[in-house]
Order: sequence, then C-alpha cells, then structure tokens
Amino acid sequence: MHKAKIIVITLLGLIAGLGHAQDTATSPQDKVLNKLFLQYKAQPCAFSDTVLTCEFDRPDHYGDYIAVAKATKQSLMVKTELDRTDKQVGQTGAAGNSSSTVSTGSVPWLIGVALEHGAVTQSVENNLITFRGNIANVIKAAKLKDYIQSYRAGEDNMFVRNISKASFSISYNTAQGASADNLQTGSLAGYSFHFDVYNHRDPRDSRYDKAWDNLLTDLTKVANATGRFSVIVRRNHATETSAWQTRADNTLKALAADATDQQIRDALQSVANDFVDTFGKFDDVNQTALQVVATLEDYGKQKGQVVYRIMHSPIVSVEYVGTKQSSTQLPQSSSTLTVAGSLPDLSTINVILETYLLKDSQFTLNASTTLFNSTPAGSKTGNVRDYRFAGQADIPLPEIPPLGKPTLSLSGLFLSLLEEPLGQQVLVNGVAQSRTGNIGLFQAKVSFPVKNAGIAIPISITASNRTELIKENDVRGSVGVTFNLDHIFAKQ
Amino acid sequence: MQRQFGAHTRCRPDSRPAFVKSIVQSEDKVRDLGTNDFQADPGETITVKVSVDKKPFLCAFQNPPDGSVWKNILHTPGSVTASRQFTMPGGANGEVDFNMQFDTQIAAGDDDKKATYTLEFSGSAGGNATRMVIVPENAGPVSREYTFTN
Repeated sequence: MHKAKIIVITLLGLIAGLGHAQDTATSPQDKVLNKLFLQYKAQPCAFSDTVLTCEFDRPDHYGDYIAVAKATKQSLMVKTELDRTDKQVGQTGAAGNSSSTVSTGSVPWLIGVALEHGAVTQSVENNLITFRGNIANVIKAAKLKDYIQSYRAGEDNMFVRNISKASFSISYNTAQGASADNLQTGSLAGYSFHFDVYNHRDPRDSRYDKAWDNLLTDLTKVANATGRFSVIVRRNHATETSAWQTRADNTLKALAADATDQQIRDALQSVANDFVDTFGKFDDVNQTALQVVATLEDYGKQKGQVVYRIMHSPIVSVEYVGTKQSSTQLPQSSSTLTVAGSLPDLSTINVILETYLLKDSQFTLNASTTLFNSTPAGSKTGNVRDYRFAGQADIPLPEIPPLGKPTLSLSGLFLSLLEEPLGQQVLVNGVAQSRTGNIGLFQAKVSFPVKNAGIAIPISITASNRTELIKENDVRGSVGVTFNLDHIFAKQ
Repeated sequence: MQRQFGAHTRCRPDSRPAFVKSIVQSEDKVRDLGTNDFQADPGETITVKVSVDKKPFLCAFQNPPDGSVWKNILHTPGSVTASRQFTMPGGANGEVDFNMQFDTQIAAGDDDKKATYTLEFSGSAGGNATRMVIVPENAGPVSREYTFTN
C-alpha cells in the first residue's frame, strides 16, 4: 500500500508540473515560421538557368510574420487541429489479459505495437506484445498502388469504405517461467477484430460538405487581406521590395540541394526577419499586415469549429476478442495456484461508445460479455463467463514542449463473474476455491507521448477489491510503451 | 539581379531566336513566365480551373482580382473543383493580380499527409499553363499570388 501512495504522489506531482511547461511553448513567430518551413519543404525554390521558380521571395508569405513580429503581446495563432486521444494501441480492454480498462473506438491507421505487463482484472504475470492495425491500410502499405488509388477515391466505393472501418490485433505472450497450462514463450495470447459501426470523424465525409463550403467565405477574406497587403508592399514600396527580393533570392539560392531542415529554417527566418526590418517601419504595411492576421485568426477559429464538430462526433464500434487461456501465466507469489484441467479459450463481444464530455475530454463506455468456447464442466450458466461494464474519461493535459501532450485517463470497471474465471476450479495450495462474484476496479493513467516519434509511455495505477484469481484488495502500478507506426509512415 | 515586380522581370533573358519567339507567341497567347507570372493579350478572357486530390476543397480567390472582376464562377459544395474567369484590361500595360489561399484538413486515417491542388490557366486566344500547390498537413492556408500582364 505504501508503494501505491508513492506512485499516486508521483503521478500527481507530474500532472501538477505540467502546467508550468506550457509557458515555454512555441512563440507566434516560430509558429508562422514552422508553417513557412513546411510549405517550403513541400515546394522548395528552384533556381534554374532559365526561370526562377520561388514562392518565398514574395511579400504575401510574410503578412502574418511581420504582424506578429511587430506585436508586443499576443498569441495570435489559433489551434485548429485537435489532438486525438482516442486511439488504442495495446490489447483491447475487453480482453481479460489487457492492462487497459476499456477499449477505445479508434485504432491506429496502420500498425500499432504495445508492450504490456499484467492485466487489470487478472493477477497474471503475462508480458504481452500486441500488434494492432487496420486491414485496408496494411494492404495499402504492401504497395498495392491500385488499391491506394481506390482508397483515396474510396468514398464512393462501399467495399473500400467498409473494409477501412475494420481493424485487427494479435497478441503474443512473451512471459518466461511457469504457466497455467503448458505455456510456451512467444505463444499466441489472443486476437481481435474491431469494426466501426458509426464513425464520422473524417473531414472527407459528405455530411461536412456544407460546413467546409461555408468556410470559404472566411478564406476569401484572408485572400482579400493578403492581396491588399501584397499590393501595398509592392506598389507603395517598390524600391525596397525589389531590393528585398534580390536579397531573399540570394539567401535561398545559397541553400544546397541537400540542405538540412535547420539550414532551410534558418534561411527562411533570415528572409522573414529581413522583410520585417525592411518594411516594419512603414505604417501602411503594418496596418494591412494586422488585417491579414485578423482574417487568419477568424478563419482559424471557424475552421477550428468545423474540426471540433468532426472530432467530437460519437463513435460506435463492435469488437470480437479471442483469448487463448492456455497462454495465461498464473501468479505464484504467496501460494501455489493450479487448475483442475485444461482451460477453455474465451470469446468476448464488446460494444464501444466513444463520445466527448467537456471540451476535449473524451468518454468511452464499454459493455461486453465473455463466453467460454467450450462449456466448463459443472457449469450452471452455460457458456457465459461474465458481464462487464467499463467507462473511461481521457483528459488532455497541457503540452510539455520537449515531449508533447500527455493524456490523463480515469477509468472504472464493474465485472460480474458468473463462472470460474478460467473455466476450471482454481486450486489454492491444492484446495478448490470459488472465484465467482463481482469485481470493481479503478485506474488512473498518464500517457506521455514522445513528440513526433509515435511512441507513448503510459504510467498507471490500478486499485480493485479483488482480481479474478485472488480474492484480496489489489493495488498496482505499471509502466508501458506503445508504438504507433502511423507517425513513421506519415514522415515517409 | 535587381528586378521590378511583375511578369517580365522574373525570367532570365530569352536567348531564343526571334522566329522561335514569334512562333511561340502566335501559338500560346497565355504564356508562362515562371513562378506565378503569365502574359496574355489585351481583352483576352482567362479561365482559371482548380481541383484538389482530396476533400475538403478549401481554395479561395481574392475577390475581386486587382484590375478585373470575376465572372462565370462555378463551384458546388462537396465538389473538389472550381472554375471562374476574368478579362484582361483592354489597353497596353494592363495587369491583373489576385491572391489565392489553399488549405486542407487531413483525415486521421489518410496516409498522404498533404493535399495537392492543380490550377489550370487557359486563355480565350489559346495557350494554357498549369500550377501545382501542395498544402502539407498543419501548414495551411498556403498563399499564392498570380500576375497576368499584357
């Protein structure tokens, strides 16, 4: 129990410390520069012998930069992209051998890998490695180009649309040592299929056409303000414009073909700062630059509302989980647990509802039942092993600049065990004991992402009145690692 | 290289023989002068067509363009294309400028983390030019300025 208190205090300390981290977030100028950098990387300048092809020696790119550079205090950029907390990488919560309390509605686009130790409702010693992915996207990643094209146009293709909603997972047990039933290291621990029955968190969904189209009014205001800004710069300050362009071209020309990201960023910053130094003294330029920023801010807010609506639409999913109980490793700490016979495998059917509560806090509800694949000897309720209800709230925490945005998850679970959890009588030191009854569980988890690496490190503490195999209060802490390969493929 | 803003100054000196230039001029009334600068005839009607490879279509035109007005504007909600026209001024040294803004919203399940807009400029007297605008995720809106001179 003392250990549990230390873990709780450490978690609370970490959470409290996060608030200070946000103070050192990227400046507005850096944010504008980041956008310019991404734009440059996508379409770099090309200085051939015959024609100049360069966008970044044109004033229209620097309207917001000069405005934020001249501003004394404000953070003018509006966050339009909502950080998602709804992707599950590890073993689904409906599987008894998972370290998560609930299953979430969304899964990684391509493949996720999670390493987990133990389980929330079982006192087992498993080390699980889970691969989770999307069937359609794994096929795409196999370089079937025609399929990629059909996916992109897939909104009109029912087959592609539906298969894209299906995902799978496979878990392997990497534990060493004794087992419940001839455990072999590296054996299959379980598998699952997940299908989104209702999921409209896609900006391409036709139900958002009207909302996107309405946004064009605000984007036109950005174009108008930027056009005016450019005309003011070019026509009212033609000499300065020409000189600045020459310097900008020379700076960008000096970039080698294999220039590093930092060199590109430095060059763009030099061009942008030169723009501020050259034109920042002109009131007409500054006034129109402020209009550019104002229209960008309005557009960002409007776009943010559309994105918010999309990302906050509910998701309903169904999930089938197969669990190989023969790979379950029983605890052997204070007493020797054994079972009377071979263990039947399990099938779990889980219905998942995912929605938002307040602001960006996401709420997930699971209702599931687990069935024995073969009827246990002496069963009174047939194949039904348990009923399970679980809820989880995911709360995004302030950003830690070198890491990213951690997420705090609070979850609870009620599990009614109608049958012996393993499908066989559990023997404690050779004496048969009943393990049916109800289990209540609470879990607090903070997941720390490693920025741009697709890696998350979840730290959790779990408390329950008992576990499936041991009828004693149980408090435990755990640390895991999850890998979301989407990030790696996105970079490529 | 000191340059004035506008179409002609963005090109390197044209070293092509005079007869080649005259052939090109007679074949292509809308001429591509590099980056986003074009040359067109006085009074010529220019059609601008835009398409994007994925929804949502987030492309806006400065309205009105500097030096002209838009006409025959076509775009329907949900469509990934749009088109519109303007007419070049009648006199010599005419110039039409307009800004365009391009943006995107990449779906979480989309492996291609960018949107690509394709622009096609065509003149009523013949000739055309195309441009691509790539909008990476979280980098929009992307600004482009197009200049047409006589």
